[in-house]
Amino acid sequence: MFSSSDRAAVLMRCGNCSQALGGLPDDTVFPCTECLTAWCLGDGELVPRAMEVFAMEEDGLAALPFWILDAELEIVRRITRMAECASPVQLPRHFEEAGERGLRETADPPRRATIFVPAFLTDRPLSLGRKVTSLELAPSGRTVRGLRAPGGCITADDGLLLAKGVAIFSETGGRTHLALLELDLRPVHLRLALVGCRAEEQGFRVAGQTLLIPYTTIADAEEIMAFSGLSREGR
Amino acid sequence: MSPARSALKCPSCGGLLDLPDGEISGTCRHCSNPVLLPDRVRRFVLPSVLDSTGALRAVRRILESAGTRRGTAARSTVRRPLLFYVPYWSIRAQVSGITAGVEPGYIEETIPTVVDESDRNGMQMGGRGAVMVRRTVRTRVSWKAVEKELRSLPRVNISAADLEPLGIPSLSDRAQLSITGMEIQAGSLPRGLEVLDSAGLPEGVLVDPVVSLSEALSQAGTCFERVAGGSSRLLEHVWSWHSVTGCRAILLYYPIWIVDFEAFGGSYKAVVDGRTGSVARGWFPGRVFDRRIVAAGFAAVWAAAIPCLVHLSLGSGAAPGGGGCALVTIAGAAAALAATLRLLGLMENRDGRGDVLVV
Repeated sequence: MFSSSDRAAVLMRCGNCSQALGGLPDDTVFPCTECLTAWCLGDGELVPRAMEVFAMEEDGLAALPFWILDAELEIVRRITRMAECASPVQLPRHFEEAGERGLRETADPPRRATIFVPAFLTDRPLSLGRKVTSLELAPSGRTVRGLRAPGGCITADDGLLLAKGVAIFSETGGRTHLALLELDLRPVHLRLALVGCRAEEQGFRVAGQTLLIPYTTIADAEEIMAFSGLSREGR
Repeated sequence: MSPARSALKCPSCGGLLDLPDGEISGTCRHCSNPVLLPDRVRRFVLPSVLDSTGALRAVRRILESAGTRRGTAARSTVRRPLLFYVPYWSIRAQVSGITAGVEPGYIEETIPTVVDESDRNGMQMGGRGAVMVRRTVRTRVSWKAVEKELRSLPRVNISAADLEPLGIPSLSDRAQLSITGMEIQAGSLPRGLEVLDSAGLPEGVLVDPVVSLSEALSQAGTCFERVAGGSSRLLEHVWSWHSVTGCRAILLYYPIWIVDFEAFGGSYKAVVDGRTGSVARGWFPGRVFDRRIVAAGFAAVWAAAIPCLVHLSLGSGAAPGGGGCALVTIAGAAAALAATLRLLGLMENRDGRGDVLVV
C-alpha cells in the first residue's frame, strides 16, 4: 500500500546552489532563499520555479509563501442581480436565467491580471488572496539569505485552481450581486512569493501594511512560527 | 510486529537510510544530507496507556458489575489479552469556494384564528366547540441577494480496517462519527500521536490497512464535497464554485486490547480502549432469571397437584360413566407437564449464549 511506493528518496538540496532545503512535514514547496528558487515536489522529484520576495524590508519577519499568477483574465459572462427584490415567488434551487427578473449580463475583454494565492493551508484562501492581491505589493530588493520560509503545502496545480477562485471572488462584494460567472483564466507565469510578515499577538501582519492574517485561520501557524524561530510579539 | 524497514538509499552517498517507519523526511546518517521520501505517508501511533493487566482489570470491572450474570468473574476462563493497533486514515483539506444565491425574506404575523377544541388539544374532546387562539404565520415577502465565501478546513477520519465484527462502527464517506468510548472523534486528531517506529513499540500487532490511500482520499473527497454543498443551505437560485485543495493524509494506529473469555459454556469477547482504559465494546453473560428457582417452583406446584389429580382420577373412575372424565384429567395433566418441560427447555437455551450483556 503506502510502503510499496517507497521508490526513492529525494535529496533536499537546492539544485542551483546546494543550499539545504527544509520545511514542515506536509510541505510541497521548498524555497531556497540563497538563490531565490522555489523547489516544488512533483512526481517524486523537485522541480524549480521562480521566486520573488515582497515586503521584506525589516529584520525578524516571517516569510509566508504565496503563489503569484500572471494571467490573462477574461470575463466571458457575468450575470448580476439586484440587491433585493420584493417578490413572494419561490425560486428554483439552482440558478436558471429564465427564472429571475432584473438580471443584468455583462462581459469583460481579456486583460492582464496578477493574482496572489496563499501557498499555506488556510481556511480562507480566496478572501486572503484577494486582499493580498489588492495590496499591489512591489518586489523587495533586499537579500533574504538564510531566511526560513516553511508552510508551503499548496502545490502549483492547486495554486492555479485557487487563483481562479480568487479571480471569481474578486467579482463579488460590489453594488450589484453576482448570480453567475463564466471566467477564462489563461496562466502566463506562476511563481512563488515570500511575503514578509510581523508575528503579532493575534496574527501575521504583512509588513508595512494594515492587513492582519489571524493565526486561527492558518492551519500550521504554530509550526510556522517554531520553524522560523519566531515568537508572538508581546509574549 | 514487523521489524523490517524499507531498504532506502541516500540519493547523495548511496548509504542505507535509517528513518523511522512513519517518517517521510530526515537526514542521512552517513553524509548528513537532508532527504525526503515523497511517496511515503506519515504514520503515527497512539501508544497504549494500558498494559495487559490493565485490560484485564477493565474487563473484570464489567464482569463484577450488576448487569453481568452473578458468578461470571469466578467461573470464567480468560485468555491472554492481545494488543492490536488498528489503522485510521486522517485526511485534511482546504475546502474553499463562492456561493451566490438569494435568501428568502419572511414577515411573521400573529393572527387570531378560530380552531376546533379537539384540534387544539390534538385529540377528540367530545365537541366542546370552537375557540379563538393566536397563531404566528410566516409569509414570504421578498428575497435578498447573498454572496458567501466558503471557508473550511475539514478533517475526515476513514477506517482503514474493518472493525464492524468487533462492534466498532466503521468511519467512511457514509458515516463520520465520534466513536463512543474511543478517542477517535469526528473532525479532529487524537492527542499524543507519536511517529511510528515499529522497532520501538514494546508490544502489539500493527493491523495492515485494507483501505488504500487512494480509496481513502476518494471517500474523503465525497465528504469534502458534502461540506462544500452545505454552504448553499437555505438559499435559492444558487450558483457556486468550489475547490478542494491542499489535501494531506496521515495514517494513525489506535490501540485496542481484545480480551477473549469463556463462561457458562459460551465464548465472549471484550474490546478495551488502550487509551481511555474503558471497555469500548463487549459481550458478557447477562443476568438471567435463575432456572433453578423456576424449576423448584414448578416442582412444588406439581407436588401439590399430583395427589389431587390422582384422587380426582380415581374418584371419577369409580363413579358410573366416570371413565371419560378420568381420561380428560390425565390428558390435561400430561399437557401441563409437557408445557412445563417446554418452558424449562426454553430457559435452558436462554441460559447459554442467549442472554448477553452488550457493552
